This record gives sequence, C-alpha cells and structure tokens, in this order.
Amino acid sequence: MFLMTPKFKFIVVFLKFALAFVFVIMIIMFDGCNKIPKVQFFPVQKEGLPQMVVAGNGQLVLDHGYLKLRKFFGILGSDFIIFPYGYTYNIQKNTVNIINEKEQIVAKVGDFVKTGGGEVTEKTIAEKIVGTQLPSDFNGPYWVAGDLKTR
Amino acid sequence: MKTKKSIFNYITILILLLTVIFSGSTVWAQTDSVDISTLDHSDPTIYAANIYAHYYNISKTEALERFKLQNVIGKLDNDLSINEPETFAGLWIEHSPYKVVIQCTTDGSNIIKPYLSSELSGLIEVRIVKRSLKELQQLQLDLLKQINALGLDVSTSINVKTNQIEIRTVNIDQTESMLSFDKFSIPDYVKIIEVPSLPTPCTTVYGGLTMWNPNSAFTSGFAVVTYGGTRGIASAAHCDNTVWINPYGGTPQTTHFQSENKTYYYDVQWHTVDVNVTNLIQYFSDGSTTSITSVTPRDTQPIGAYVAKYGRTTGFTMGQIDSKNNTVPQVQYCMPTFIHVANTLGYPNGICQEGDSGGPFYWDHSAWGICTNKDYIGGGFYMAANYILSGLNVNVLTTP
Repeated sequence: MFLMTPKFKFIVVFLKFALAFVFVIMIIMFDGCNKIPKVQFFPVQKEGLPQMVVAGNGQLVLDHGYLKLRKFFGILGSDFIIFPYGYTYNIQKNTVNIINEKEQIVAKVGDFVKTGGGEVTEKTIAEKIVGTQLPSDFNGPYWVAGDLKTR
Repeated sequence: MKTKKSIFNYITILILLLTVIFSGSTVWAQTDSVDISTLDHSDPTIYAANIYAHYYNISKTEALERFKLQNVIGKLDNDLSINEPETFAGLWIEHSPYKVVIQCTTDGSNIIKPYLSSELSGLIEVRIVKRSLKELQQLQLDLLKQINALGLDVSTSINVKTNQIEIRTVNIDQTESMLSFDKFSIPDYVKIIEVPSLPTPCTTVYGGLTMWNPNSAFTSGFAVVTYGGTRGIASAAHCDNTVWINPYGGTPQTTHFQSENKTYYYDVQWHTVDVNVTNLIQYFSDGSTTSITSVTPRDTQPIGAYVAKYGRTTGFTMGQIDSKNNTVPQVQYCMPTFIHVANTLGYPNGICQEGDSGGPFYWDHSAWGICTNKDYIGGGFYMAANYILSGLNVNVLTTP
C-alpha cells in the first residue's frame, strides 16, 4: 500500500529531480575537460638571481590561464608560479607540460610537484624578479620557484 | 517489488554521483557542537572563564569566583604544609561538585580551622589517611635511593588522593622481581603501575631543526628572546608563517608566528613555542648540538673568513665569505648587505639547498647569520645575525 501513497510518489519525483540536478552539475564540472587549455601568461625569473631555499610542494594547476602551485589540496591556498630562468611550456593532447632549461618535460598540469624556492607577496617584488610588468589580475602570493620535480 | 528496486537504484546512483563530485574537490565543512573559537578571547581570564563555565555548566560570574578561590586555596596548601607537616596529608580542588578536599592523619578539623577563610566556608571536606605528606615525601626519597641502586628505569610520584607513592614502569614483572630480589618488600603505601612508556624529557627546541607544514619545509635559525624574556625561534621571513617545529627525536610542536621583516636589510621572522627554547643549534644530522653564546655583527665578519651552516637538507656545510654586499630578490627595497658564502670546499650539493632556508650560519659558538638563498654555482647567502635585533627587536639567545 505504501508504494501507492502520495508520499512515495513525492520521494520518486524528488529523487528524479536530484539526479537531474547532479547531472547538470557534472556537465558543468567536466565541460572544461574537452577544452584545449590556454596559458595566458608564463612568467620566468630573470637570469642569475639568487634563489630562496625553502623546500616547497603542491599540485601544479591551471587557473584561468595562470599556472599555480596549489598548496595542500588548496587548503593553504595557491601561489602564482614564477618559473626558473629558461623554463617554458608546451601543450600536447590537452596537457600543459612544463619544460626546463634543458628542454626536458619536468611536470605537467595536475602533477604533484616538489619545488624549491620561496613565497613573495608583493607584486612589485615579483615584477622585479620577472623583469616585466605582470598582468593586472596576476596578483600574489607568488611562488618564486626553483627546479620542479614530480613527486 | 519493482518500484522498491527502482528507488534503491535512484538512491545508489545519487550517492555514487555525489561521491564523484565531492571526492576531488571540496573539504567537508566541519561542525562542532562546542565552538570555543567563537568565544570572546580579548581578555584571557574572561576567555578561560567562558570555557570553564561552559564545561561545568555554571555562570561566567561563578567561574570567575572559583578562579579567585584558587589563589586562596593555594595559600592554604602552602600554610598547612609549612605549619602542620606532621598532620597535613595534602589537598586538592574538585570541580563537580566544587569543593576542597583536605587530608589529615588525625581528625584535623580543629587543626585546619584557624587557616580557613570565610570564602571557603561550606567548601571543605576533611578526610583521614595514614601518612602525612611529609612522611610520604621522605619515603619516596628512600625508595628512589633503592631504585637508583638497582638501576631500575622507572618514574615515581606521590598520589595525594590515594595517599600512596606510585612507581611507573614499562615492565611490571621485572620491576616487582627486582625489588623483591633486593629483599625490598612492597609496602601498602607503594603502588606499581605498568605504563606504555615513561615520561620523556621536557621538549626543547632551538636552531637547526625542521620547521614545516604540509606545503613546505625549512630550518630554524637561532633561539631568540625579547627584552621582556619571551623566548622564541627565528627563521627566514620568506618561509611560511603557520608551521610546526620538530624537536630532534620528538613529536612536532606548534609554533606561534610573532612578526617578520622582509624589507631593506631583513629576511627574518620569529615564532614562539609552547615548549622550552634554549641557546643551542643542531650542527649535525645525528642531532649533535652546540651552544650559541654570542653574536658576531656583520661588520666584524671579514671576507675570506670561514663560516659553517646547518640546514635540514644539506646538513653541515662550511665555506668562505667572498662578498658582503649582495641583494636578494625577495626583499623589498633590498639593501646590499646580504653575505655570500662560496662553496670553497666543493660540496656536491653546494652550501645550501631547498629546505635550508632559515638555518643557522655560525662559527665557533657565535651566531653569524640566517640562510636565505643559494646561487647557481653552489654558493649560499645569509642575513647577518645582528640584523635579527634591528629587524625584529628580539635578541639572539646566548644563555641557556
């Protein structure tokens, strides 16, 4: 008898709506997977600067076109990365690869990486380190990175 | 049956999808029925009273009254210990219900009466026990002599409430047999308790230890002290502020960030800790330490001098100062006062590497600087140690 009650029907309808809602969320979440990633700005340090020597780690992520070091699953925030002198990147099969000065791929977006270096918060300091003006929405904190290694 | 099955299927799919959504992204919100963090903490006494009142389900006013009584009871404890040593067997405060239990070897009501202030009326309970506190203390000393003679690895204490001496051991059978072997009969005032581990020595922190959080790791520099006597640990300012420090062989200790300076001449920060701080630095990876008893100012650190460094990554290294007028990129308006140490001895990993930031540069027993940077040919940089005082208004600790 319960199966025929309005309460039961309500539960079924509710579950259907909930499922539909979850599907919509998933579509929104995974929509980006098929897009070709775009790196808007790839800052590198000027040649020959002394490097800070904190042992850092985190996940390399691409956030609105900027590469960031996501610290402890994002709980400790994330820093805009200023890469070592000579570093570049390429994009292969929707993957952003980080390439060191020896032209070796050292990490890709999504990797958990170890990197020496240190954090700076002032944009003016970051601009001095890069040697150029930074984009207006490229606001710190910044991780002035040493060599990257995947963990 | 079919409909029931479909409901089950809906719920299963929903749970699976929600698991997929939440697994890689969100930190679950934490709920806590007692959120002490929301209590006003502008006044430490009021803050403590709020917590106490909450815990014992009383008013804040009553909590504050009880706090005041603690001083009165403390004085009573001291007075009875000094004036009635043959009778007094200790006291303690019980909080639920609130009362003071005083133990005596005889009916001590009359003895205690002169010492009681009106504030304590109605709060005193007297209990009669066999031995006075003074007698127990003497028995404990006698017992310790025998334990030491036997070489037993135990700890002892007096349990005032049970009027006994307690011996704590990790091996109760061995302790009992050794005490018996020495024809030492275990009297009724002694209780042997087996514990998983004995108390460890009081934790102490100093320079050269690992400071870390899940995102980064670096090295503590020197112990520091304010003019008011508050001790702490200095490191480099470009390191994270919310970190733990690992005492050598001990469990990580929370640090409390105090201040930092990363302008002009400085790249330095300091933290207080809840444990002892002393004027040592670790200088070798086996935990060896040396004391710091002075600071060598930048002006008296000559080019060509050798200086040693300890860091959590490269351990002990030493090299020669080859330049005293360097800037480092992370310091705003940086003045050229950072000191460069050349890798004269050719360490394969250089003078310092990632993780050594903040570590001590020193020579003999004197603080020379705090590690800040490395170059690309194996050299290292440090900020002179005398800048800790001018940058943070704290002194390098040079006494134990």
